[in-house]
Order: sequence, then structure tokens, then C-alpha cells
Amino acid sequence: MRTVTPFDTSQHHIHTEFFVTDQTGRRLRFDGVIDTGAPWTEFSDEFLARAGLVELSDDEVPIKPNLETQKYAKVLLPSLTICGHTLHDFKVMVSRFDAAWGIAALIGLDFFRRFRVTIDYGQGVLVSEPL
Amino acid sequence: MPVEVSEVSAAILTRHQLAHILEMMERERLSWAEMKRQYPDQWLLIVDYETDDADRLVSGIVEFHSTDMHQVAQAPAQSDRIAFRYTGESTFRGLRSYAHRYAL
Repeated sequence: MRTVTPFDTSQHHIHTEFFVTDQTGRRLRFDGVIDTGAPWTEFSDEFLARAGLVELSDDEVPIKPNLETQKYAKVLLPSLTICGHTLHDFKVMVSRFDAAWGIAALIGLDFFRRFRVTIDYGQGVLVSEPL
Repeated sequence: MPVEVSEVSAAILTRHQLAHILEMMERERLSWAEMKRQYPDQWLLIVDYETDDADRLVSGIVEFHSTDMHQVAQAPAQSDRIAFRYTGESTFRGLRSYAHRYAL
């Protein structure tokens, strides 16, 4: 199914909302950034913990201040919906995110390589269709 | 003696359910623009949100708010429609790496 997802062209990155299904079956809604420079999708461990999908390990992850995500594990998401497309058992990196980034995930090429994707800044839309 | 519809409705709700409904009614539904004005540079836990035709969050009830992302991420919520949003400008600039000792 072809979907058209609007985004705010005034922002520094392409932000899009997405859903993760938690362990109780509820769909939690988050804001993320499309990162075409990232081979893998990364999720904030704080919000994966909220969904009951990982356990936080504050004491075991040395974090460099600012600037960079800090990948330290992998996890299978039972259900992830982005741009109207739902993937099951999708593997993502578990990362430590800085709170000031204001996002819960970086959506990488592992998600988008499954789709024909057009980023249309003229219309402010992301058009995607499964390959 | 006739029975008011409201009495019937109240009778089939538990006290807890009724209290929750009344509490939700008292809280104010805000637009996303209003949330950004009222809670600048904060993380929000938004419940019972509504979306536009493009499925973008346009309004909801702020269940919890804080500058501390951890607190918001772990805050309880009973709704089936839960969203997490940040009202400030993202400082993310695109750099990434592996955590020390955790190269995968």
C-alpha cells in the first residue's frame, strides 16, 4: 500500500511519528527522525523499557556526553508502524539518547530499504510503498 | 418510579472507573500548539490524543510533564491512546557511535 506522510520542512531533520506495541498490546506513539545516514534503526532504551521490551542498565553503560547515540544492545520489536507500514519482529539497536534530542528513535535504512521511498520537500511529504 | 439514565450509567460503572472518568473530564484538552506554550522544553506523556487526517497528533490531555525524560517515560497512564512528545527544539545533529565497550 502506498502511503503519503507529511512532515515539517522547517525542521532540521525529517521528523515522523511512529508506533511501538508494548507487552500489553497497547500501541505507544513516539516521535522519531528519519536518518538516511544510519544503516540501523536505533531506539531510546528509556522508551523501550517503557514498552517492557528491555530492562534499563544505567550502571553498565558508560555514556559520552552529548552529540552521539550510544548503541549497546539489540532487541526485536514485536510490532513497529512507521508511515502507515507495520513490520513485525523488527530488529533495532538499543541506544542511550540525550533527552534534549526530543526523539525516541532514529529510523534507519533497515526500515526504508523495504520500501520505494520519495522524500518530497516541495510538498513536504514522504511517499512510501512496499517493494 | 422512573430511573434517570445517568443513574443507570453510574450504577454499571465501578467507583474506580467513575472517578477516572470524572478526573479525565476535569483535565483540559490542549492542542499541540497550546502544549508547546504551556510546557516549553519539556517531555510530555499525552493521553486520549486526537489526530488529523494525516494521522498527526493535534490534541490531547497532558497526563504528565517534566524536563526529565526518564520520569516521563516511566510515568503511569491508563489510557489506550498514549503518546510521548518533546515540546522543545531537538538538539540532535546526526552524530552516532557505539557505547564504550559495546561495539556490536
